[in-house]
This record gives sequence, structure tokens and C-alpha cells, in this order.
Amino acid sequence: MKALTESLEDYLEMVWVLSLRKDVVRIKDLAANLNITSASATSAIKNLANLNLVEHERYGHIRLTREGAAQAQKIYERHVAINRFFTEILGVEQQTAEDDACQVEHHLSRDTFSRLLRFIHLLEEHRRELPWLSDLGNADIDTSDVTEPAHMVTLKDYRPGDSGVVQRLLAEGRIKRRLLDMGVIPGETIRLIKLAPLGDPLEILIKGYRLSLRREEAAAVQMKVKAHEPVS
Amino acid sequence: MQLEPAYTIALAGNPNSGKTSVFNRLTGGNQTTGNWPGVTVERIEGRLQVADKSIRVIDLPGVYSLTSYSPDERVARDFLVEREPDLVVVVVDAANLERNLYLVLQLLELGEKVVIALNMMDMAEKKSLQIDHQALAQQLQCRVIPTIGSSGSGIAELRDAIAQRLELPIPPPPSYYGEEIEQALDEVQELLEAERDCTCPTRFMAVKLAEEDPEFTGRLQQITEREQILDIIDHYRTEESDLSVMLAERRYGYIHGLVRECVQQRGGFGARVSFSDKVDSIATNRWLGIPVFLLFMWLSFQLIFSLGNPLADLIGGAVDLVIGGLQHALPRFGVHYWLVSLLTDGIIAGVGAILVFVPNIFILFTVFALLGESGYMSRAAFVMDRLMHLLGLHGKSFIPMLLGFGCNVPAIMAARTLESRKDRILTIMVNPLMSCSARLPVYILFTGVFFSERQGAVVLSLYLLGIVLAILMARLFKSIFFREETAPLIMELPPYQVPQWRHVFRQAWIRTWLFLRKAGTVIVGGVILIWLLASLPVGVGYAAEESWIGRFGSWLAPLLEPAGFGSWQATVTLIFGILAKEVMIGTLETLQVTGEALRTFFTPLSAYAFMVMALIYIPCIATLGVIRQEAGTRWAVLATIYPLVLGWVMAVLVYQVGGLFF
Repeated sequence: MKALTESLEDYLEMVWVLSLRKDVVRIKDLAANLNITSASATSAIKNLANLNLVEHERYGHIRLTREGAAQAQKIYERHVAINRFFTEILGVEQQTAEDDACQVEHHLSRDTFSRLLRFIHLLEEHRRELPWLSDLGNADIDTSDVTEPAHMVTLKDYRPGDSGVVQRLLAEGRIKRRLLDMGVIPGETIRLIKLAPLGDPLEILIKGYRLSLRREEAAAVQMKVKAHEPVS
Repeated sequence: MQLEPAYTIALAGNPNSGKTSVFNRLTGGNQTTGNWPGVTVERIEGRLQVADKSIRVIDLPGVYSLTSYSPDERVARDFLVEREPDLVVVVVDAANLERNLYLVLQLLELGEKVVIALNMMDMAEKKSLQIDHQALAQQLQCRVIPTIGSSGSGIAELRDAIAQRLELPIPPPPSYYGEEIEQALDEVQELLEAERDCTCPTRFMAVKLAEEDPEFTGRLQQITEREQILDIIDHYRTEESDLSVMLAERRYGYIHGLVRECVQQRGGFGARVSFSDKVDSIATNRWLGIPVFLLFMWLSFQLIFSLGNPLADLIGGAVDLVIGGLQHALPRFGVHYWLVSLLTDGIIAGVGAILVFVPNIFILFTVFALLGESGYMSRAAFVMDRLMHLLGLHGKSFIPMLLGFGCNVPAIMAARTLESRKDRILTIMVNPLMSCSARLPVYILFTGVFFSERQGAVVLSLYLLGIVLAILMARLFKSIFFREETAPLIMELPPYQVPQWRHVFRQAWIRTWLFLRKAGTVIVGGVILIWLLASLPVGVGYAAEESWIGRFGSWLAPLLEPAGFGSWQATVTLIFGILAKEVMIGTLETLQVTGEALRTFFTPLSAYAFMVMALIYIPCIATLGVIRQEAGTRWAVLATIYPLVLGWVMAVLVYQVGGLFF
């Protein structure tokens, strides 16, 4: 894995995240999502292209190379691992965890960071043998910065524009089989498009088509990773 | 003369894959329609002659997988699994390839000979998708023919491919479950094979058991190796996943890889997607969604009744003309008046009673086919689901309920769009409580005489009473008959499409014809029965006090005394109302209970109680006929009895409680 500067890592990761949700990634989407100008996004993409991590095509379309995708995925997984450590083990609230994960990635030394990741993986592997871990996650911490205990995020908690990846199905029987048939399987990316006028059911984008389900059914779809992009 | 076809092939595919248009293109006008045995699912069959082969083509209901959730899906699944067609043509939406290929994989796994019609290529092109169909064919080991059902492109090639494929052996299905799962499936399969009384392929049975499909796990009871099989399946159960999830993951994983190899996106967003999104930004908009829905409903209502009713009147007029003519002419030829009456008042009037429904029903089915084909129907359900779910029903129930205010017959047929049996039966059972337009003349007659000051408010109160009772009865039936059942809403919102008029009219006609055939029998029978009761014994005046119906009315009248209308005339009027609610007016005339004469039989309070009874009691014969057709005889019997009891209770309640105040 080539060593990248922090900001290039961010760009690469964002290209990957966007490419999960959209058919094509454009410079302007990238710029908008990273809160920077198109010009700086263009120069960063040129740098990534020089490293053979992305291909910059006409009309401002960006495509990841095989190597780029692999590297981006690693960065992303690292991000997710830290994020999960914060939410599931420490019990940090989702949004705070998301923000803090970015901080940690950028401000820890490479050595500390790698060791922390290893530690997290070990913890996750041995989670069942460490019952106090779940107590930690559920504990009411007596400080002002963490107030809410971590809770499982399901599709029901999503708002229009949110997207994420299915972690597992909590339903049984008929509903579960139907969801599986329709492509709602672990690892699949789902984007919540809108709510019906009366607030229920929901409309989601999955596998390139539109599916509607009630909140009751959405509560049975446990999600991980959450990104938000306003619905146009 | 046509020879009995040598081959039977099935046409399968996801809903909204354009299957119907491919079927129509494939078979031309050469089609017959009927019902699948035991269920009200339409069975459409066509003939295809290609390269000296005569082939029967069965159009199966659209399914997403081989797991069934509704009668339609069960019919498709059972046909594929148990009747084993010689070949299956799977119609696949090229613009939505991943989900559509899921069914293809399951069919290949079932060991079917498969030809894929890669349909809606024009839509895929609009989405800038470049599909290498040859690579797809290579990977799946079956023919893949690009088609456009709406224009007929590719259909000739599809015909040839079918003829060729029929001759070839079935290639082994692709393998994608991975060694570990394959081994587990093999083990289950071996245990099943030892048993040897399986009606379906053991591989399919093994997969179904792994998916924990209750329709198949139920069959395990008879198998000696039951425990062993369950052990194998349980072995894969973890907190996160189980075998059923793994199977779906592997299938979709394989498809994902396949699509990545065979499909290229040439950049640029799909026109179809953005068009649909634009429409949806209004049709399912937070603020506009409901007004748009109501507008569509109002338009449908107007079409069905404003356009249909004059046509119905025309048919009614023509039938009356024929009856009048025959009644005038036949006695001159010495035909006995009793026979004349049987022919005219009985048989012809009975047939006429069905024919008058044809315009309304044909327009209803046309409107429904339009809403369905265009893709709006699922949006309507999306918009209304919350409200209807609160009442224990489904989003799609709203349309039948609303149509009920026009006529319960087409309204009950409209309940077909509901997937789950529970939703369909509940919607059908409470539909007669929606006050249909035929009941309005009765209200007008009575309110005109007794409540001329507040006519509107009194009529409105009857409509509202019907709605409230419908909600209560739906809840009651749900808690009695469907306590355990949960009907989820997991529904595709397909891209909008321009409906094809040919299909729309064809579909409307097929359904109207099925109505005529099935509900017609009950309606004609009922009309003749009532005629007999009113004309026997020979010699009495039609529906006079001495006729059987009059005697029956006199005998029943005391039962209605507590409701305030215990005269034999009122009772006979109600009996005639079973023919059709508007017949009550004519009956009252025949019995000379009209205008001010009403006051000798009713007080304002008993008139209101009578209207309540007229609203609720036994639905008309035509309604009972379609309930029997759509839900079965047992539900039709219940739909006869419960309104009678409910109507009596409500009428008595109105009269007795009202008596305390007025």
C-alpha cells in the first residue's frame, strides 16, 4: 500500500463512498461532499491519477482503478473499524463517533494508529469472552460529553438522504425471505429516498431500483455506516 | 383444426418486466383465458407454431422468486416445480438486471431449460447500459435474446431460440454457493433421496428447507431423517446470519459479479430514472401526494360511473324493450302468460341484470390496467398505506373502498390488486358497507317524504354510518380470522411507463369476460329464484300477499317489528332489494306504498331505521356473486349472514333508542 497524505486518503475514500451510491462520480460531487472548491478537488484527483489510483475521464467523471478501489476500501474499513469501536464498544453516540473517527485517523501517529486498529480487532474477536465489554458500552458515563447510550441503528432510524450498508436482518420468516428475495441482503448499500406523505412507508433505492417498505419492516433491517447527501 | 401441442413452455418473469407484451408478441392473437383450478388467478394460454413444432405457451403470474407470498405466486411456483414445463422463457428487465436475474438463477438451479428474453432493451439503452448478452449467455449456459416487447424487436429470434433449445439437453446449473454450502445441500439432498416420495426435485426441496420456507418445512414431518436435516441447517445459524441469508447472499453475489462482467455503464444518467423521479416528485410528494391521489380517484370515479352509467342505462333500456316487446308479442302466439313471465321477468331480466354491469366493469378494468401498467398503482398504495394500515388494511385497499360508493361489484373485483389474502378478504367483506349508488334512490325516496328539511344531512349520516361500521367490522374480522397473520408491505415502485392500449383493453376485456362467466351464473340463478317465489303458486298476482314471497314476507314481518317496520310490504321490499337495491323502489310502487302512502307504514323514526337496514342488510345478488367468485363460497355465505344480523341489530337499536328521545 502506497503511503498517501491524509488529504489524499480523504479524497480516495470519498470517491469510493460516492461510487457506492452513484453510477458515476463527478468532480463537483466530490468537492461538494468534502466542502472544498472544484479546483482543489481537480488537483487532488490529478495527484491520485498520477499514482494510478483513479482514472479521470471526460466530463469530470472519476473512476477508481483496481488498486485505487482496494486501497480506498482499506481506508474505509479502517474508518469503519474505529467508528464501530467508538459506537459499539465505548457506546459513543453515532454522530460524535463519526466526527471523532476522522480526528483519530488524522492526528495519531501511524504506529499508534496501526496498534489501535489491531487492538480493536482483537477486542472484537474476543468480545463474547469479555462480558464487561457490553457493560461498558451500555454504561451511563458520568460526564457531560456522552449522554446517549449506543443503540442499534436500523433503516427505520434513517432520514431521507441517508445511505448505508445492510448489516443483518432482524426479521424472521416471511418478511425475512421477502426482504432477501428483493435484494435486501447484508453488505448491500441502501439509500433512503423519501417518506410517504403520511410519514410511512419509506421509499429506498437498492440494486438500482425503488422499493417501498413500512417502518415496521425497516426496523428489521440493521444498518451500519451512515452517510448523508441531501435528496435533490 | 389445431393439433394438440407437442410441447408446453412457460413464460416467467418479475412483475413489471414487460412479460405480457412479450407473451402477446410471441403468440399473436392466439390466446385462451380461464382460471387456474381452485383459485381466482387468471390463466392465460397461447399457441406458438415454430419450425414444425406446435407449442403451448403458459403465461405465469409475475414473481420475484420461487417463494410464494400470494395465490398468484403460488400458481407460478407450483407450475414450474411440479408440472415441469418443457422449457421456461424468463423475461428479464434489462434495465434492472440484478434483481431480475435472481429468478433466472433459481430456475436454472431447478434444472429447467431456460431461454432468457432480455427485454426492455430500449429502456436499458436510455439508462446508457451496454449489455454483452453473449457473455451473459456464455456464463449462464443458456440462450439470451435481446427483445423489446413494445415494438416486437427480437421476437423472431426468441421463437427460433425456443425451438432450438427444446432439442438440446439441459446444461448443469452454474455453481455459486461455495464448497461448504454445496456440501450441506448435498447431504440434505441425499437424505431426501433416501425417502423417495418427493413430488419436486430433491435439490429444490433441499434449498427450500435451507430457506426455511414453511410450505416445505411442513412436509418434513413425514420424513424419518427429519432431525438430521434440521441439524445440518442449524449448523449454519449464528447471531448474524443463517443458511437462508447465506444462500441469498451467494446468489446475489454471483449475479453482482456477472453484471459487472457483462454490463457497462457508459456514463450519463438514465433518462428513464430521472423521468420517473420527476413524476414522483409530484406523485409522491409530501404535500401533493394525497391531493394527486384524490384527483386520480375522482377522475377514475367519473370515468367509471359518469361514462359507464349512461351506457348501463342504454343496456337496461334495451333489455326492457326486449322484455316489453316479448310480453306484447308472445301471448298473441298463444304462449301461456306464465311461460312469458318466466322468459321475460325471469330469464331475460336475469341476463339483463348482469349485462348492465358490463360498461362499469369494463371501464373499471380499463382504468385499473392503465393505473397498473403506468406504474401509478403502487404509488397510490404508497401514499395511502399509513391511513389504511391504521384501519387494519393495506394501502391498496383504499381504491376498492372508494369504488364501493359507486358500485360494490367492480369495487370487490378491484380488491384483486391486493397481494395478501388477508387484506383481500377483509377488503371484500366490508366493502358492501360502503353505500353504493343504487342505495341512494332509496334514501332519497324516504328522506324526501320524512326528512325533507334536512335531506342532505340525513343521507350523509347513512354514508358515515356505513364507513364507521366498515372500519369496526374490518377490525373484528381481523381479530377473529387473521389474528396470526402479518402482511408486510415490501413493494416495488417500478419506473413509470407509457401504457400500451392494446394490453390495457385486452386485459380489461379478459377480466370482464371472466366476470360475466362466473358471477353471471349466480346472478341469473338468483333472479330466477326470486321470480319463482313471486309468481308461485300459479295464478297469484306478481309479488302479491298470497304469492310465496308475500307469505314468506308475512311470516318474517314480526321479526322486524322491533325495528318499527313490521309490515309484510316492508319485508317483501327488502327481499326484492336483494336482487338489486334500486329494485326496492319499484317493489314499493308495485305494492302501492309510495308518496304519502308511506306514512301509513312508516314513522320518521322507523323510516330511518328502515334506511339503516337497507344500507347494511344482505348485499345484492351481483355483489354476493362476485364475493363468491373472488373469495369463495364460505366467505360469500358469511357476507350474506353478518350484514343481515348487523343490519337488524342496528335498525332495532335506532328504533328502540331513538324511541326514547322522539
